[in-house]
Amino acid sequence: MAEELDVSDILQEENTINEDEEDDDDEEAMTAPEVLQKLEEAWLNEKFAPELLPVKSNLVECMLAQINAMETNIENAKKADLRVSIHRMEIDRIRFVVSSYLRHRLAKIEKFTSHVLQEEEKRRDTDAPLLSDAELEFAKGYEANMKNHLASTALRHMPTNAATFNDKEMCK
Amino acid sequence: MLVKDFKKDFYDTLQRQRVLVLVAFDVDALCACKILQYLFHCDQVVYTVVPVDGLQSLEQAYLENAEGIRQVVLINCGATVDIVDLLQPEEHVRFYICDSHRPVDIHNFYNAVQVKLLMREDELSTIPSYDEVFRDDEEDSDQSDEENDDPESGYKKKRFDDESILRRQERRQWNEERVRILFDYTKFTSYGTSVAMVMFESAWKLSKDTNNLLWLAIVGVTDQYVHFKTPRDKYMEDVIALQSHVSRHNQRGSDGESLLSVNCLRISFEEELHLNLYRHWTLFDSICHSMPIACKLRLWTLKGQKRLHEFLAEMGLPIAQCKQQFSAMDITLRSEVKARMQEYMNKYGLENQDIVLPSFSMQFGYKNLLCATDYVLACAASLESLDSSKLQTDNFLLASDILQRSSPEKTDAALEGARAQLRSLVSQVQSSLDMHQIISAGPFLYVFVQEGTADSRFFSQPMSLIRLARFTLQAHCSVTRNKRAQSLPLVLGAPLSLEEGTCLIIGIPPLDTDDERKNFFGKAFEQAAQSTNMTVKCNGFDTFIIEMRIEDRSKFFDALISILQ
Amino acid sequence: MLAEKALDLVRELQRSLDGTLPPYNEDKIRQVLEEMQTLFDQNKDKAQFAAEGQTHLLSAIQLRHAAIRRNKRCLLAYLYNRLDQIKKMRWEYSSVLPSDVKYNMCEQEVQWFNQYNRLLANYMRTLGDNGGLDLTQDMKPPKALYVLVRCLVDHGEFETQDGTTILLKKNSQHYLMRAECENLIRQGILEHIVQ
Repeated sequence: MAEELDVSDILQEENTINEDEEDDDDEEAMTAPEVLQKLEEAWLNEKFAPELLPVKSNLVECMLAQINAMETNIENAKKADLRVSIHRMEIDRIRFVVSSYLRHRLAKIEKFTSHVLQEEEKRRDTDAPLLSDAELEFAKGYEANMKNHLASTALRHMPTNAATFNDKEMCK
Repeated sequence: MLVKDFKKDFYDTLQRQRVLVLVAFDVDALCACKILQYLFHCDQVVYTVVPVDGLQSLEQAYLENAEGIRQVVLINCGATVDIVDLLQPEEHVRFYICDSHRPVDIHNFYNAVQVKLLMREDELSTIPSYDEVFRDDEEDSDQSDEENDDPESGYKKKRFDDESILRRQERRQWNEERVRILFDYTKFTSYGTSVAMVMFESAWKLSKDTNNLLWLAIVGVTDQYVHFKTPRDKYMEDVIALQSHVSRHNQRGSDGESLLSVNCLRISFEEELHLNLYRHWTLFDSICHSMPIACKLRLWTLKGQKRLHEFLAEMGLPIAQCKQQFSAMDITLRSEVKARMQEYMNKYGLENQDIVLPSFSMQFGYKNLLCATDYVLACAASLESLDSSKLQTDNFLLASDILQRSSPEKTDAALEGARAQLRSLVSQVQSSLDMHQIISAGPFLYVFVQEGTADSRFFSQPMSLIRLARFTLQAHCSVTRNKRAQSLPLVLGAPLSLEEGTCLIIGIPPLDTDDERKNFFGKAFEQAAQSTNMTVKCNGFDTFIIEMRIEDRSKFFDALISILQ
Repeated sequence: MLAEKALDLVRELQRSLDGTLPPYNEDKIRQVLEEMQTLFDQNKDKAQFAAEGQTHLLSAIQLRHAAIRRNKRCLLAYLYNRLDQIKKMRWEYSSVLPSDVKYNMCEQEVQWFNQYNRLLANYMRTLGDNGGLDLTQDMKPPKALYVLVRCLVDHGEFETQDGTTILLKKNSQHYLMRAECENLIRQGILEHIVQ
């Protein structure tokens, strides 16, 4: 139920960045520069907030689609140096922002796995889930991996009264 | 083939392609390379830079890097040899040669397809015309006809004989003439305009020149003069041309103050004191280690030292202060040194030319003030630094960093290296003269640097060797009573590697041909080696410096004497 | 002293914070576990007595219990931090670890690492439409499209995305697209020259 933006990529040969069409839902459509700006905001928020913030997968998907479109466009365009270079730089920068945003989120997920999963449970059915589907899978897998490992190396050998996990103990 | 339009014939063809740049190991080439790199960065041309120090490494670098490359730029190397013959490239590879070594090989000049020369046209005027050195091959086809006709009737053969005899005679004459022309053409080696200057002018025509590039061009031109590659007139011409660029880039306001901010590079033209490194040394040491004054006053002798003391006293410069760091002297004295020197120089036999050199200095920030000659000496010292743990190419990168002005510590270390070099230079000259090691061998003078002395390791590199040879010759001429000394060239030998038993031999022209600086030793060495059937290696791009085994030295010299007589 | 060996483990890890993974100290871990077991056994015996009212044993029991918990905490911290370091290496290098690092890891750590790789790869594959976005690239904000790099070691031939091969010999300088040499710059083979 996340917002779905339908951004079409009509990248013409000229130097205009995307124009979009209106989308079917009644949410407002955003132009690509606006999406980029929102993404940059989200990125900064995520970087400086100590806790995991709700995911903005729509922005991420949009920008990744944008990158793809720009790349195909570059390949088709004739080799007019300056524009191709500028487009390439733009692609690099967008890719960096997206990667950095996702990396920060991943780091937080790894750090607070159990807590995040618990929070997610509460929020699963609301409007602002904390994790995207892929992130949820990753988080679950990560938790399982971690528990398995600690159990197999240490906890299994510990005397019985200590051999359980205590979630509070997982946070250092 | 000469490039007429830099932009169309050279620069535009390099766009959007990968370029291989092969750079020789001297300061001029390094400056030109940096200018070219800047132009490439502006237009995002993908390139690779490989330094090469001689023909062998040129070949090797080309072979290693040539995959997929269609454009090769050679800076300060490759003009004097037939490059297509040497490297055997594929059909579609283009070479662009920007080289100050002359004479240019005729094959390079007349190869319209694969070789393009980035040089000034007026410097190539002495090249023989096409018909004098190349000939269409009608003769060969006629000769093969003649052979085919052999089994036929004797009458036909006889008819061909007359004509063919004439033709063969004519051909022989033409061949002899050709050999003579080529010999005359390649007899003297010299240097043309500095490659940095050529590159800068091309950048200027593309409207991409900046103050930084201008400074690099200045350093390139000064390098040619410091290493005695160009005569003073040519240097003055170049300086005047550069001066107009300097005033264009470094404008001064109405009160004479520069309009550029302090943090930018500021270049100014001055009549500089021709004392090496005086700003970074003591005045006294600097005078003792600067060639013109040292030779005129004979400062390596006791008498010369006394005269120097007199000179300084007369100028009113206290000895104690002269032996301190220049920057620690009194401000009033510092600013007046030049004026006072010019006032009293005539009494001591010095001329204006010895004391003052029109040159440029640059200032960068509040602390760093360097003049062009000092900069050249520092770069040369770092290119030839003797750290055996470092590769030569490491030195190349170090010199590149210094030109970039990226860290003042490296520049200071290089200046220290330059001082060490100068000190060993002077002490070597002093010992050669004291021990009368400069011997006249008829058509030339010769001297050997003793193996195993502490200083001898400084002279295993070409640039220091050139300076040592020149200093020795000039010092010798100033002390000797032999009137002919001014017209005798000098051959100097220095040990290269003790384990292998090799030494370097360099030959420089006599002092009275200073206006032209043409060197005939390249050809002379070649002929001497041929006549004695010896293997000598000419590793660098200068043919007047060769490498040979120490045992072969005396044989070689005998051959050389007989050739030059 | 009780729980001293566990503290040793933690200290060992702290000393190696500069990035190299010390060898998996199987021995010490076993000792710690043994200690925990002995303490527990001792406690078990005494606990019975304590339940019957001999209160002077209570403090001993509590002490041993605290020691057990401390051991557990130290041990878990040790293991967790090792995993953290291994994870950092995945992000710094790539999914193949150098052999000297692998030598210092125990079996289960290697398995954990492989599983982590799989999770990460699955996650990255789902991003975007084009087969995924590699999050281990683009670690630093890009300043320019092309960079001047200097080769620090002889690396041999290197193929760029458009098919040209470049010979990376020591001390040669190249001007290439940033995206292509980022990996090599990170590995230390190329040095980025800022002008």
